[in-house]
Amino acid sequence: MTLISTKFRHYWPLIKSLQTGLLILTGLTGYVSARCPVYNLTTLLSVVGTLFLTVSGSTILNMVWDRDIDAKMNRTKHRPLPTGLVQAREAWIVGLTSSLMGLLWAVYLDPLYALIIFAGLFFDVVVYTIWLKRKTAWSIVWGGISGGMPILAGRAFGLGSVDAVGIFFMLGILFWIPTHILTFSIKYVDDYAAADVPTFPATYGVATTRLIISVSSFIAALSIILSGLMMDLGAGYLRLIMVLAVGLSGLALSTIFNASERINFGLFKYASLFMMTSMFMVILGAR
Amino acid sequence: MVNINRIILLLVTIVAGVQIVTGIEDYGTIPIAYYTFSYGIFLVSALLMLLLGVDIIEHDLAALATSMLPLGFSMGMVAVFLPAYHLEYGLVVSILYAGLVIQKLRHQDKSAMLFQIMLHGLTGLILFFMPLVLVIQGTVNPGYLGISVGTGLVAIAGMALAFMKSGKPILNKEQIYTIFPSVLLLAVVAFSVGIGSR
Repeated sequence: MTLISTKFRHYWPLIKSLQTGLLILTGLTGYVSARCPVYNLTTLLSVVGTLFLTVSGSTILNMVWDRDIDAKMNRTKHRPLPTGLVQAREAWIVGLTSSLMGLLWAVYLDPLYALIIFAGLFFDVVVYTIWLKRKTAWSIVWGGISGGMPILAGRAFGLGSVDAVGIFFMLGILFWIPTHILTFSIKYVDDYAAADVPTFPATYGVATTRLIISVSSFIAALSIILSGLMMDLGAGYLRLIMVLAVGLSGLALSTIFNASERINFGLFKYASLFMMTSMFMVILGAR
Repeated sequence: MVNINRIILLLVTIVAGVQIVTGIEDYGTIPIAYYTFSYGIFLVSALLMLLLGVDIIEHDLAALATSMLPLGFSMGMVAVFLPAYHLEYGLVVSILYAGLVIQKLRHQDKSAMLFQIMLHGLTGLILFFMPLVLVIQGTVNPGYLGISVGTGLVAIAGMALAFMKSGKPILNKEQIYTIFPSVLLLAVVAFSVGIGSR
């Protein structure tokens, strides 16, 4: 029992619970937005289960691959892999097993759903982490695309096909992710430089990075609003998303004209709140 | 910021959010747009205070944002009860607001203040007295007076801030920061009671 609780304690940080939780929420949102029979608890739990296994699995695999980078960065050097609390080989097996189990479960549910989840996993682990992260700052685009896959997969699972609403939902997440990653890369620019990871602030300067954050936040907000309009979301829920989107765009603009660490991090937190609230609004307002 | 104020600001966002989603559904499209606008100011302001701290109310942009609050509510009321004057009233307050924005951007603080006083004076009069008249006439339920109460609360908070900025504070900065979230909550609740009691 002690061994299990110790392992759980060590693996919990490896799955980045908040990020994984938010991605599962986006997947659920995509599924519910298709107005399918959500009273089917087994299917809902299956969406949660498949996404939990695949997203957690890919996050663990990323952590294994990037453990040398993590060891060089102050922000991440205390993670279980660089400190040796978890052995790389063991984490590799857990990550791979979790991903495969999630994928097999997804195939059993619906092949299209599984294919999109697999694309997300492939873009995240192979394209973003293994291939591009150490080569170019633009790798985050692929990180963003993979982050958009759960909501697209959920929507496709509920609908039986990929549609424009799903694509706009995916774009919403894709453009939301730079706000998340680039804010971190500004705040921890020295950390990334020490680990020799190319970032936007180091390559193009902080001012350009802030501009990119603002533009991408604006596009993320617009994409979510368009998805809501196209899926005929309840008017009240759409109004709330619009209000929050205006706030997000305003804050994003102020990071350009009134740049500071405080506003920058405020935008980061606001963007996360915007995305989470928008997802709940879509779930509640889907007709 | 003390924890109780965090909870209070969270309550402000929830009340404003619920109003936007379901609280104004009985109105027509135009008033809904105006009320959404004003509740949106409540919601986003409270969120920003939660994330960045209450002291953002001292920021120059805060004056522009808070001026939109009575503007939206009063436009909504005029659209509902005085539709014949909707366009004229809208033009006047838009000109005053544009003047405020332009003078703020030009850092002409004195003339900006003049526009702000005129804008708040006009919208404040509408918001404070119109519910009184409507209740006396029996056009609306007494609960509609919530709008007058909300306006009074926003006015008190606004004056406390204005005096602080002018260097002649009624309350010191810490006291204002401490009570501001509670005033905001009371105001949003009062407006919600009022708007819901037509």
